Amino acid sequence: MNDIEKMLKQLGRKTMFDVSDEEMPALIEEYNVFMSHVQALEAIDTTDVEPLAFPYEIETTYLRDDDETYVISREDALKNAKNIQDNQIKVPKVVG
Amino acid sequence: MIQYSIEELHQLFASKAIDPKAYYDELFEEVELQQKRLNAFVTITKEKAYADLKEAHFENLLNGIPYVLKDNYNTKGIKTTASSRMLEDYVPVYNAHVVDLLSKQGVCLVGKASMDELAMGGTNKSALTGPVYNPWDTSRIAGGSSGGSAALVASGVVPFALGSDTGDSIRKPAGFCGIVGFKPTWGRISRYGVIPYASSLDTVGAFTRNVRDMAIVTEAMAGRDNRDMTSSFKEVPHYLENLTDDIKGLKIAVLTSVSDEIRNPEIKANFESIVETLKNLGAIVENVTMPTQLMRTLLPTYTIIANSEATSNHSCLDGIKYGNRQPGKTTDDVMINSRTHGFGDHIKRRFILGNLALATENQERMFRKAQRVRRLIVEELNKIYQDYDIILTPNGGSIAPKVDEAYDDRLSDEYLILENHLSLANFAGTPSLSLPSGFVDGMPIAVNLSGRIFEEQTVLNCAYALENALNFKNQYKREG
Repeated sequence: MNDIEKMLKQLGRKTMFDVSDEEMPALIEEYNVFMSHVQALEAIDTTDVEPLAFPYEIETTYLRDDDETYVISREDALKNAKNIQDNQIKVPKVVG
Repeated sequence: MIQYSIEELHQLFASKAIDPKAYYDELFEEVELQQKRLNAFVTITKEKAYADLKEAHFENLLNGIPYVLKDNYNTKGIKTTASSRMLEDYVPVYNAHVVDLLSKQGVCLVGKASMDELAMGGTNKSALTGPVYNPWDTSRIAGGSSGGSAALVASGVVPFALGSDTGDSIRKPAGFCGIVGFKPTWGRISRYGVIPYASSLDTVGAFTRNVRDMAIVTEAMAGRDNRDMTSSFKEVPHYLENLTDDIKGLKIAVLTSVSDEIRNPEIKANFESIVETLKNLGAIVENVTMPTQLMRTLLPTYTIIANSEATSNHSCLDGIKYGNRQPGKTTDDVMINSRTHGFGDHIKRRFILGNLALATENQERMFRKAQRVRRLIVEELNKIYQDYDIILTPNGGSIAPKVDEAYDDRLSDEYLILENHLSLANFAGTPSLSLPSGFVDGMPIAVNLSGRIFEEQTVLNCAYALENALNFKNQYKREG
């Protein structure tokens, strides 16, 4: 396994995926395309250009009154979880 | 008889010229036939449609009208999969905001439509339920990511369907399927309850078979929603009431940086004829350009921003709270196993590369750089809007590809610019509409009209004028 494959496998784990040996060639191919995209952007001079996070300047965060406006019931909140016990979502033991 | 537009159907229902129950009986017969032919549904909601119909009194334009939702719109009590194994048995406990708005108008839900997995794709071939076929030729794709919605409107099953558009996911399939596809201004319609892809680009929009119907549907969905902080407080105009096909003096810019890349002579000739038609309608049509080097960065900028935002948005899909849970010895193992099993290979690759661009050591060089280039692109685009009301481009350079066809040269300007330029409207958040403009080899082709932010009316008016001058209104295809 070369350095790039090792890096991508580790990155896969950080993204919460297992990357199998069979999946690696396609990932490497897409990684190369992705890096060519990065290179294309490097060719553009962005000195003194601020990042644009939204299409246009808008205010999206402001304080509102701390009212309970939209709530869902506990029953609804747990409806789609696959493993429930005593009104809680059950996961494997965390502390020994 | 189930090919009517919204306005026609409303008239027929309201005047009691046809029996609504009989109409829906026939509609669901056609649903079965078209599902076999097109594979466009994930879920058919026949019982829900009849229940909705029972409540209908046909007092307004959308009351009693059948429609379809892309399967990334949350629907309370109805499976919402986003065409992903991860969500194959996910049943939402709430409705998306626009689903509530449309339900208040009395629409009848016919089904949930197939899409590219998590809306990440342009072919609809990555759907868990398999490819969606084009109504005009079932050996070809409907396009993506909103392919199921496009195919069901284009086969005349429903007069309208909702899609979502992050790069061109409404407009490209609309063009391939010969119908109208509209991505309104980012912020015009709430996205609350729509499973996201890339939040700075995602937009709710619709497919119809004519522009008047598009005005109706867009008006019904637009407006502020406190649950989507990016939705606008701007008043919603009466798009239908204000619709006019008088475009004399309208200033239209032909973006030749895009149209010059057309290689197909018939598509080129068609585009030139559309330019002439608009001139004949009294519009002032002139050529404009954008810097080529910047145009070549559309796909790179899009890929980096969209993948990064998607990685972040979908970190919640871990199999714990909802989704396809797989066993594991630790909580981390449960998440890793669930995600590894739950997502298609191409989604995993996109998430991993998105995470690459967000990594602390790469973020400035990749993600932030893409956001800076995005600003340059948007500034260049907005320069054009200082002098022009509408930007006209071809919708793409080809007819819908065959199901097993891949694009030949992904480094050519034809691909990088022509096939990816619709993302301009996502970068800048501008309203953008694709309209059928003709046929090549028996397959529909289209042009795209984009306008300034929140100027939906201008885009709709221009499209209405062009639609009236052409002969592709209300077209659909059931066989072939």
